[in-house]
Amino acid sequence: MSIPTLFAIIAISFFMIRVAPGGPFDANRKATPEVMANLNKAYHLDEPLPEQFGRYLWGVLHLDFGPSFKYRDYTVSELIFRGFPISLEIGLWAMLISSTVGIFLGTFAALKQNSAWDYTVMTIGMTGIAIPTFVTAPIYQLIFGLALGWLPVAGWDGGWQHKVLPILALSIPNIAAISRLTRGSMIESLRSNHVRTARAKGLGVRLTVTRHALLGGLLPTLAYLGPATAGIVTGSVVIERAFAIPGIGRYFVEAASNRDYTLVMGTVIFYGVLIIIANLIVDLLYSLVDPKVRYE
Amino acid sequence: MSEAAFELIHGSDHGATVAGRSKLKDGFGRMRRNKMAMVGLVVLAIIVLACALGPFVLPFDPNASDFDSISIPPAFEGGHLFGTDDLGRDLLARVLEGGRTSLLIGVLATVVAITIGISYGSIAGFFGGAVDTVMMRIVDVLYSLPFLFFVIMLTMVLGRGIESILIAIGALLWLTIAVIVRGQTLSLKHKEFIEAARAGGMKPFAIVRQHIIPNTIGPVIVYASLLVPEVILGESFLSYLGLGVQEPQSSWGTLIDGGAQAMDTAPWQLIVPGLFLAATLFSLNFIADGLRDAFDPKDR
Repeated sequence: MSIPTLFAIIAISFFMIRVAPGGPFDANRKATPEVMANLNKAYHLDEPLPEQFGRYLWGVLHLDFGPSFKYRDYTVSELIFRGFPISLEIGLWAMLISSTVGIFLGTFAALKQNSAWDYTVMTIGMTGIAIPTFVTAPIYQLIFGLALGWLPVAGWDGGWQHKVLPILALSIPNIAAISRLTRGSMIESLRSNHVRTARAKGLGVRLTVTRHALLGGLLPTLAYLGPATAGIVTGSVVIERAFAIPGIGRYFVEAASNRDYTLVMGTVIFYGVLIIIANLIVDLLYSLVDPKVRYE
Repeated sequence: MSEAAFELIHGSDHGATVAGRSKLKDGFGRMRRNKMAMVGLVVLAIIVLACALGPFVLPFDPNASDFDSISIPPAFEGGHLFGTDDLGRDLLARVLEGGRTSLLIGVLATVVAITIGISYGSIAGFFGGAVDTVMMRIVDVLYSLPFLFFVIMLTMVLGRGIESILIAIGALLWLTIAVIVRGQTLSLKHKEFIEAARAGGMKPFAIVRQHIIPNTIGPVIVYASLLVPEVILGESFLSYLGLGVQEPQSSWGTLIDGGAQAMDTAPWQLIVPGLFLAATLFSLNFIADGLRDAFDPKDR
């Protein structure tokens, strides 16, 4: 399933960019026809489309996304791998924090269903979902950066101070989504027969929850981690712009506004691969945890 | 895909029921007792009315610069209730104007997505077999594409502007609806009334149009209510990145982007459009939750 998806991503991006209006070289000044011909030749734009596509596909398989049209001295791969470690660090932290906090809050709310705690968690959840990161990020900057002066407003030097706000802003919506989902499935799981049986034969609340209810209740949450990765990837684009972090997301946005076609294609394909890998990992974990699912 | 949509799909194998007329009434009755949903409905109605009527009522032109009143904080005197921006334009007028764009895109792109999703899903489900396999494989592949990135690429192809955002979002958000409608169709197509229609000599496409699609409307309405906030969010996301609605047109996303840049001197420029967007998304989410609670057979 992941191979055809990957192929589709590459094919769709390639042909979409090819029909996009405006070549990469007719930006500012008009070059002479000879220069244009040479440029087209140098970038293989004079070949028939299928041949170009084959060449591109072959390149992608070798992690070669071609040269960037805008940053003439760099290849797309160089730019991607320069930004990736930074994006990955923020993304992984956000993933870790949002899943642990989200699962904890969701389980807690489910155990105290319809109490004040429950409503508090759910209200936070709703707020986190309804207020998008491009609103919350500047507000955090306003509060923690400008008003309180605890943390730098934006920028990146690798120190932890520069990481706190981006990771926080990226985690909150996912904490909200995961805690809501976990709460729902935990409530269902707590009502199921085997949990009632465990309680009836005298098992304590704590043991019942950890041994019997939690595993079943966390299955939907586990399955959601795939879409959550896509959410974090998308969110990181906003975060990197808001906090001026030199990750892949910033290259992508710049490339999209500069019509740097190879860089756009490269980043989209790269993101696609990341999401596919995340989904694959989640599927494998799921089959490990849920005996009803088996992959031959 | 939103979390609620995710639940909707993964919960759909529990055997969805066909909503009869009385059930619809029941549902709306339950909905009316849901306080949060009703509050959401009222708030949304106020915002929609304000955006629709505001530009006729307000004394300020959203695009007219006034260099005598640059970056005025919100105040009653002077008439700039929500202050002005760094070109002296009235922020309330701009937010209402931008809200028209955001809400319009939200509704229209949802309609596009629903139309594609219903036709696609019902055809795949009704004809089954190889048609179904191929069509749903395509959906599977499209599902795993990073949605907003493809919207951005599509707007590069179509050129920036409201129409292309509309088409791009609508053309990519129909997947979940197609999956839901297909599931519904599968459970419907062996029912007696379909058999009767078939026996009566009705053509397949006519059966789909007249018998299948009307019976899948219930879940579609619930999901559509989830889709509208998703579209509005997507549009604001693009506009925030500078890849969506372009000057001189504005939407909540472009206003938030502008506000974020002016936040150290004039924080209200960020907070006012942010509040409007958040209030809209809040109420739409509460309404969607209410609709789902009222119509989902899995009683929560």
